[in-house]
Amino acid sequence: MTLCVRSLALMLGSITALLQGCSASKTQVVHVYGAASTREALEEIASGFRAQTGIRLELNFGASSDLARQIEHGAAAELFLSADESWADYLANKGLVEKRRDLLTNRLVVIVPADSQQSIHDLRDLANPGFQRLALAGPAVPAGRYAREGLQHAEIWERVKNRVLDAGDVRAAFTYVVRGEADAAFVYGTDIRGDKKVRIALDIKPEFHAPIRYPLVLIRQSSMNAAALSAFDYLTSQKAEIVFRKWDFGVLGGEPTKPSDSKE
Amino acid sequence: MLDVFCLAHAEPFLGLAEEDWRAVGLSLCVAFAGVLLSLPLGLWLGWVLARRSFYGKTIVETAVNLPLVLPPVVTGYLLLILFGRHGWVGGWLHRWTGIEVALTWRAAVLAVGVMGFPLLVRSIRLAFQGLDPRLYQAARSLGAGPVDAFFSVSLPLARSGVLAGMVLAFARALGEFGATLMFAGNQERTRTISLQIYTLNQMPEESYEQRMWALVVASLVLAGGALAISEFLERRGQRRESA
Repeated sequence: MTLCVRSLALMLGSITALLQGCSASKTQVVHVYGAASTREALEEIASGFRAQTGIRLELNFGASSDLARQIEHGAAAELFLSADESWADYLANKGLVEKRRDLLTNRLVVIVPADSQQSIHDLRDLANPGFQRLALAGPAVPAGRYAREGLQHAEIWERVKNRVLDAGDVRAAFTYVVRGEADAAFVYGTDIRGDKKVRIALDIKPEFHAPIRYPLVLIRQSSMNAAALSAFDYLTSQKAEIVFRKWDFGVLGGEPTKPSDSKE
Repeated sequence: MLDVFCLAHAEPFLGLAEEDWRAVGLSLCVAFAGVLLSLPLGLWLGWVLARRSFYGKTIVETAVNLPLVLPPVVTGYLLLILFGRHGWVGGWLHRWTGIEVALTWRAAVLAVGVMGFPLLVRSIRLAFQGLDPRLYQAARSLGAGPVDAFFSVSLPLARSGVLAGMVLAFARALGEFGATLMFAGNQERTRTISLQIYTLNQMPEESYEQRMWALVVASLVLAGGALAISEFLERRGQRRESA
């Protein structure tokens, strides 16, 4: 009996000690949720930020729609870099936005497998029989929205919509083409990253879809984390701009806005 | 082929939109096809595992039960590697016949068939194990070939258990998500109930949430109903054997 109690106590003791070790971290951490397309840029910025301030950015990437919904349901994000305005608006409507600034722009392209013989001069060419499977991010994902807008603008959406393969996010759409499982995909220009297995078949003209804007949002917390504020400032600084431009993003200038400020 | 029948036009009804009813119809079709597809192999393996011992039997048993314990996305990924356009089997198939398996409705059927297979074999094996082996031997000694004896004697006696296995595999097939998502992808032709719920969940508007709930209820009803039928059949089979 005593042996049993003692071993139980030992077990509980060690588990508690382990958990203490895991949670009590001496470095400050800021939780950043970023659109899937911003992965490499944010990772590089995070290491620069850590070198400069010692603050660690804990990064979580995914479709902006998924991330916004997680934040809405209480996920511990402090910064959110969304791939479109609508998901930042979504959080603003829930009263979760403390500070907001349009940070990046991007361009939409159609990619095909590198060995594909297909050529496109116009979005309408996607209705050709050679394109049986089109990978798009899902309808709620920014990249998927821009793509659908483009197809609707080209007036071929009704014809191709049953060939659409919904990918979880823009990088999943990219991967379908890399693997040769899809004949074409709509991704951002920044997603190419020099990958030799795909090639850009078409640059989509900006008037075909809503302007691609990536707002950076500081999430409202019950007690604001100073480290989060300095991370926000760093992400909007020159140093971060250099990294974003390196990864092919367009960077916007301008002042941050409070939620009460009017948005265009 | 199959999809002309299963993706038939639907009407908005009972809080579900057209595409939701299509998802229900597609789920039922795909699950049914998946079980039928896996039945011949399931019957054979159930029989062999019940009646024979052979070198490597454990490996076969493990292989059969693997889809039950592997994460479904892993199973889906393995199927994708095998049957994709550049896969070991799929690449050959695509080059010589032009038939595509991965990321089509065929993949949806194959995925649910594979996921339900362990449950099917388990029930069938139990059913055959519950039979008196002397009945089969008697038929053989009277001159029946092995196949004849199987179909005339063993199978009819085990039919409740086999049916229970089919219904259980069907229920599992209805609820399949991870392997379907990986292997068949999220597209109009493969959007089963679970994929439709997943898609609706990503949309922010409230109207989608209501439809999602309606589908969740439909899913519960279908799964619950199938399970109840399966239990009933299994008990009926056991009662017959002890009679």
